[in-house]
Amino acid sequence: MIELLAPAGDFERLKVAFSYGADAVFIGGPGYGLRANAVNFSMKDIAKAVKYAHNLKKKVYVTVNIVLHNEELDKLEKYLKELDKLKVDAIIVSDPSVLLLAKKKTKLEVHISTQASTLNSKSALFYKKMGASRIVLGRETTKEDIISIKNNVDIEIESFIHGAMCASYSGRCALSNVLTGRCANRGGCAQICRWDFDLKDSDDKLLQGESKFTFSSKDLSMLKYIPEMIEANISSLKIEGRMRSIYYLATVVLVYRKAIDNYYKNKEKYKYSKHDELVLAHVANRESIAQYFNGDYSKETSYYNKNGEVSNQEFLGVVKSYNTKTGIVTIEERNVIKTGMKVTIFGPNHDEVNFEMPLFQNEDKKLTDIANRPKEIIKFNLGYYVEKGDMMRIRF
Amino acid sequence: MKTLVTIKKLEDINKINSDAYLVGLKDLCVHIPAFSMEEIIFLSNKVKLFVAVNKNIHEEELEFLKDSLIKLDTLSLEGIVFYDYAVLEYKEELSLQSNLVWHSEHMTTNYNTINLLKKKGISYAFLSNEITYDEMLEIKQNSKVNLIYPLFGHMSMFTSKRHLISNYLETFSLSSSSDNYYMEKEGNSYPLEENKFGTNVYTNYIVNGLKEAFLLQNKNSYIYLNSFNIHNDVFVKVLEIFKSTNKDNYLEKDVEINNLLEGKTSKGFLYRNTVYKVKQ
Repeated sequence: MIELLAPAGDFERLKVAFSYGADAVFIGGPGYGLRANAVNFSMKDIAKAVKYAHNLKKKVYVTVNIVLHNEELDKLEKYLKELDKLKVDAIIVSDPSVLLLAKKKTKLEVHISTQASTLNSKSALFYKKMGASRIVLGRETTKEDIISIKNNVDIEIESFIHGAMCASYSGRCALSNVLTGRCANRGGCAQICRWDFDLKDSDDKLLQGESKFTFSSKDLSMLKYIPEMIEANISSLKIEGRMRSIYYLATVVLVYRKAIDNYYKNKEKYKYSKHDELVLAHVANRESIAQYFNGDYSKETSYYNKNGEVSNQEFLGVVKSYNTKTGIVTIEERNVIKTGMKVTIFGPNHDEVNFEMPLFQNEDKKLTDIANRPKEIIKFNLGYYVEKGDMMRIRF
Repeated sequence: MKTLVTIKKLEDINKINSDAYLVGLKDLCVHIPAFSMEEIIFLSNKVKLFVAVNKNIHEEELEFLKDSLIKLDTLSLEGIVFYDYAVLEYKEELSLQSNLVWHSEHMTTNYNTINLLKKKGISYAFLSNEITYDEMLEIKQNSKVNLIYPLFGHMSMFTSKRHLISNYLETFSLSSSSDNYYMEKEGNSYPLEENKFGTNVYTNYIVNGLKEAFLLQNKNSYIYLNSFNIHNDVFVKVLEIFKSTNKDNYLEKDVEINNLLEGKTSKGFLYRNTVYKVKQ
């Protein structure tokens, strides 16, 4: 079965990713990764993560994909050997010398990062000959490219299915470094592609529409195309976003888990869920579409509506416990909860539970109709089966 | 010092007197002026020539790349400049004899990888413009291939497959027939261009690394000067200044370039370490 690969910015998110259906996670270690401003895992955390994952028969991949400078060369071998000792399932690299070192000095599996922008079968062959077992393809590959690469080179293919898109070819952007001194190729991307600029022609004439010029792209969403991706013999479907919230992660992983499982259960009758598409649309903070897989990089993929980019208030809380005898559910609040709200509790092991929020008991054991203190604990009688770790959101 | 320059038009070789020239092969290059195979054949008989096939190669472009490499290999070239490792695979598969120049742009940043790729067939490494002078020096001391140092001109800082200018103009029903565009922010103006392969953006400043060029150069290396967005008359003067540099005047010549370009110059990343921060 195809692998569902999720991001995990920390141990909490790793647990969420696995419990909502990811087969593997990718994480950043204490060095050499491309999300320098994420929390990232210490070596001790990685050991814990690997043990946790392997107990569930799941996998952990560690990013070692920064563009390597001279100063990093000395300590790299020691770092790779430590990762090997911790039995991580693979490392994700972009520099060929990291690949070679890992293959020479360790038993680590090596995946080639999307940072290397592999778009063709000859490049894939180059990495395979050096010992790579998997290529994370550049986001610019089309369905036909993927099929051709897979037909020409016997190597695992990993492809993005959801999340933010670089406006540039990965690895070919120094905007962040030039404009802010934070190097994207070294983990410091300041997302200059989301900034606004004045666009002028050679006569210094300002060319301006209702919104200012930007490189910003819509996000990627491949829900409709899961069957085609499975049939293209892709080995792993990757969700972007190590810095995303647990709510985002749980929602996206669960939607794709269901899509993959439902397709394998009955390929002929499979239909993608429009409801799940709506759920994905709500959880994102900007519009999402398929893009390069269909050969589309037209104006429809550009994102100018930054006013529509809002922080998500739909995530209401996390289920801390459910008493099957009394039907009482305990929720830890994340955004304001009010009596009368139409809400949904979702989780990996049951259908969505939809209901109207009743009066509830607060931490002072008083009956109330509003919870607005950060992480406030509330209780109420639900009457439907839910589980610890489920999440509550606005119903849509 | 040996110089390698870009030219905008074929006839520029008569005006711009450099040791070697870098041109792009039409339909296989980005942010280097493109020339047809016939023009490249003509140029290769006249001057020392590097030819760039430096775009990200898509699967459907492989056959064209292969055919082009076979043709280029018959010419007397100083080197073929590549970004995509497909070129190294073709070197092995086709037994290409031409010198290959590794130019994975912002990723040509350490001597270890350069020396590894020497074993795979490269003869030159074209260094990243995102590394410091000290890093260049360390690479020089530890590399086993000849080096090309990007030390003058606007730096390429963004390459996208997306037609970002057209997409914007179309979305908001704006029309423009301009050949050149600029994007501005906080008083800085960044040149950008679009062609059928996408959009390229360049630094607002012109890197002036004359002093560093003098200190790094040796008989096997080239100093790369990019003429993009600089008038030929000015570029010719710049090149003359670079060529007239010696141990007694290189500091003055560095200032002379700054004066000639009226304050538009910068040292880029030559003395600016990039941020690499991990919260523990």
